Amino acid sequence: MLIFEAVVYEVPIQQAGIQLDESLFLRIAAEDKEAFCTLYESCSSTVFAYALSILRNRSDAEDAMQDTFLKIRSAAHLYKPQGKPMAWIFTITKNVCLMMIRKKVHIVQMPEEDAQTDLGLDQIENAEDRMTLEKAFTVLPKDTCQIIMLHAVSGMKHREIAELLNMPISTVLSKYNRGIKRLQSELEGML
Amino acid sequence: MNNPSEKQLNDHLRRAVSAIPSNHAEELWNTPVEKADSDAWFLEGTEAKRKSTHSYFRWASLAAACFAIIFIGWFQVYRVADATVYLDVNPSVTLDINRLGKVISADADNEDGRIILDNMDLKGIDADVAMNALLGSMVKHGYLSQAQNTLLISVGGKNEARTTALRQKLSANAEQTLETLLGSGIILGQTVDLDDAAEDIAEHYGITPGKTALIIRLLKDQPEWNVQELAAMPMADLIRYCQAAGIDISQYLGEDGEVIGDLSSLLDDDDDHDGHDDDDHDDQDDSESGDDHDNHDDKDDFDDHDDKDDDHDDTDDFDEDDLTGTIPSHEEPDDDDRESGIIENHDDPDDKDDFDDSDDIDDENDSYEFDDDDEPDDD
Repeated sequence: MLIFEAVVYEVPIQQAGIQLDESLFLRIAAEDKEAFCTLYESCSSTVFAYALSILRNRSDAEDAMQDTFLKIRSAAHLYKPQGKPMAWIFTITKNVCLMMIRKKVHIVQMPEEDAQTDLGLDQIENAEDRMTLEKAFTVLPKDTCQIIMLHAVSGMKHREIAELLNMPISTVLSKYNRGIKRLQSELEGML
Repeated sequence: MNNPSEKQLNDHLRRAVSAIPSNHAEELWNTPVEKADSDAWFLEGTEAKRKSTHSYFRWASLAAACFAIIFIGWFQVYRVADATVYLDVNPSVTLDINRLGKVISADADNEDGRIILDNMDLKGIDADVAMNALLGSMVKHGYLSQAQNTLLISVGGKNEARTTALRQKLSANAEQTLETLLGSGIILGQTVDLDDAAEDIAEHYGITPGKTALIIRLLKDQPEWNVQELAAMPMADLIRYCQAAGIDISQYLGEDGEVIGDLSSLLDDDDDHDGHDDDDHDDQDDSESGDDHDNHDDKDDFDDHDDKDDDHDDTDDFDEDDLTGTIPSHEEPDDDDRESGIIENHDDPDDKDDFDDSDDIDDENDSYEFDDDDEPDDD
């Protein structure tokens, strides 16, 4: 079994469009800073995109992303190589985001519509990029937005998204296609 | 401007998100964290996935279960008997048939059956083909002839529809085969319930449970008849025996029993009931061939009393006087009747003891019970 795990660790895993070496988690657990920086550079954008698709707020998504990486540090020693490191990271990200939503609801009874109006996307310099992201957040249903973000930003395949979100792949495909058409329609003549 | 393409939209989204996060890796690394327990709230959901490390075992178990299901299915279809076919002429043979109608085992129920099955491998071939082979072997060994052209086909099985269909198919096939081989044949067909008691009786008397079922039905109306004697009779002789007693054997084949062929043809030569040589041509056949087919089971043969006559003439064979003397219209047979040669087995002196025993049975009006008194002598 040890030999088997050693072999698994040496094989880089192509997951969610990001090539992650599962041995990074072992190294992080052993307080290897370089391994942590490598992991952060590899998938911080993807984690942020996923958090953004859930929270729909730039600032909250960035907090969630950072919190997720702290959690990864604290739980790296518990990671069991399964060939799906991104699924493990996304699960932590989702839990962190949901916890943030719960806390936010308790602290400020902010209407959802008001929350969605403050996307905090001003840092994005390219107007077309910002407009596309804003449209995605404002006109698309939440789950459709998640699917498109995971596919477009994280490079995940539809099958992987279906597995992550616990949806049939046919549902993922139809939601993705409907979402893209909706975006195309909304952004017609604007890009 | 045209609608943006899917690729353009994805590129915009990717650039928009990539532009946002600042690199906080250094800062995050310097933030002190405590090592989490496996039950930490943010690991909820990963635990289930961690369990999937056992997925290899789960898949292996699933594969094993699938293999087991496939194997059981294969075993049920190919190796488990869906129906049992019992063939009785005098040789008695039992064929176990699988759901595909192929023979999975062939067993002889008596010594004549073993002669028929000698060196014959019937496993895996269609039931009707196997039956043809058996009929051919019976003709070759002299068990089936123009005088003994009667076959009892009994089929028992789990599924009534399949059992009936199999019996009908085999009966029709047997009729054609006998017609080809002998010019004509009589097929008695019946569906029987598989019954342990009947199988025990059948094994005791060296016949099939199919013939046993028929005999049991006959004995219910004719309790004075002797089960050992009936068991030893070739089917043609059993029919003649019934006809001589005025009994229509077709009434004893069960609800869906059938008779293919002309039963009355068996007594054509005895239509005059004159007690003269009714089976001359049969006897001639025997003498010409030098092969008394009935002698395969001489100990209970009707012809056995020829030895007593010592005239090498079958004049007395199957004559109605003998039969009526043996079975006086459902009356108790008396000692004289038994001594007439119908019941006595002169091949084996021990048989006399048997008949003495059977007298005792008759006295108790219980001759159809399968007790030790009816045991064959060779036991």
